[in-house]
Amino acid sequence: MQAGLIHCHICEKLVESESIENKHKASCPRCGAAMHMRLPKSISRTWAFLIASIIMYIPANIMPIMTVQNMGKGDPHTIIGGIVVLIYEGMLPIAFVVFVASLLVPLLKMIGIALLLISVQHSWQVTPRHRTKMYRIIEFVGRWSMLDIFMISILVAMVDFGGIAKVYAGTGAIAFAAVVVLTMLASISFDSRLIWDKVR
Amino acid sequence: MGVRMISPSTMPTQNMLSFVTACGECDLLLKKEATPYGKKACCPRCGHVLSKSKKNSIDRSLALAIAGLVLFIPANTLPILRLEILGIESGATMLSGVAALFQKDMWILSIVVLLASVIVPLSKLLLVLYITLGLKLNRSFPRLANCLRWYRHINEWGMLEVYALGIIVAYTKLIDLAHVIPELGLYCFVGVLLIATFISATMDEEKFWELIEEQQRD
Repeated sequence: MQAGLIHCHICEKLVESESIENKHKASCPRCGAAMHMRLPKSISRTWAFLIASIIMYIPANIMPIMTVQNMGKGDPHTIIGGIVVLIYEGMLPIAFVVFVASLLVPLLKMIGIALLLISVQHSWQVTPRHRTKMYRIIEFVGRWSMLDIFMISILVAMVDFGGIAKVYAGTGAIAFAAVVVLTMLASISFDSRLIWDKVR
Repeated sequence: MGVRMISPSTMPTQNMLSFVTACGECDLLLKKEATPYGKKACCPRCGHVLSKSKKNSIDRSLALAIAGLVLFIPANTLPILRLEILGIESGATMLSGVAALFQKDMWILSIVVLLASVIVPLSKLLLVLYITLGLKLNRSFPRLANCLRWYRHINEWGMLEVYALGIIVAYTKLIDLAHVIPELGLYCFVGVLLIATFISATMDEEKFWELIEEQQRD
């Protein structure tokens, strides 16, 4: 950045910033993507997505994500309820996977992004390498929370036996999908180079 | 491409641009060096993988994209699992899961599932096919650079591997309730999943960009 170069974040080409005429609407000569020194308004956009996802996390956990109807009796499940059922049925490894993917990962991801934002806003000098690593892990694990949503879509299609057994998706599932999508958007809008800009 | 750190005193000049690169995650300026096949270059400051050099990257990606597209249709239209309760059978395909959500007033959810498990993976395969064909035949196909850029944009939103885990969890939830039988669609789905993983491992994006740049110059 100080060298007068802009790095395209899509195709990774380096371009001299002086050679770009219109500073506000620059696009990469190789791939055509919009070019910025840093992603525009990275911190406020990431906060916005993060706060939205925290708000959605509440209905995602207290509203039922699906209802299993067996012999006419409805039985709505929340995310935690689904995990408890799996534990009761003795399927501990699967219960653990669902617990990690749908409870732990979104929570840790939101805390992690908040920490990264605070660290950049307060110009922390320590552990930039660890913070970059944390960002990389956050980017990688977020998608795995979609597990529950996919499972519901399979169950809803398969378990449709009229009065005997039927599965419905619940409103909590929509909130939960929103949490996953919003946290993914938050980590995409965070520019990891900001971590290093403040370190000298 | 390998890298070597550049001392801050050496400011890049016009002719240096061809052999200077910057780390995508921390913006450290680095000098490019050829990376041997099968090796990867990492940023010395933050550890970000800068480039992975792959043998026959274009040929392999092209072959994998064709194989993936062939398997994609049965993976989506044939039943993945079959369920039997009291003699009644019911099967689910990937698309019927989306359709069932759509019918039960969960259209937002059905769109999310459709995008992440069908549309994005399919678009990725088609984009890789188009890009590698253009580079292989060395023809300047229109909008090649845009296609590779779009591939980068949508890459993260394809979630076949997460869907696979979803199938496993659904399976374990159902075996108590009924008799569950894996179907042909499941094997095709696993094939598509493996191919998609292999493609992201064999694609040498940096080389693709350089070839596209050469085409643009001609």
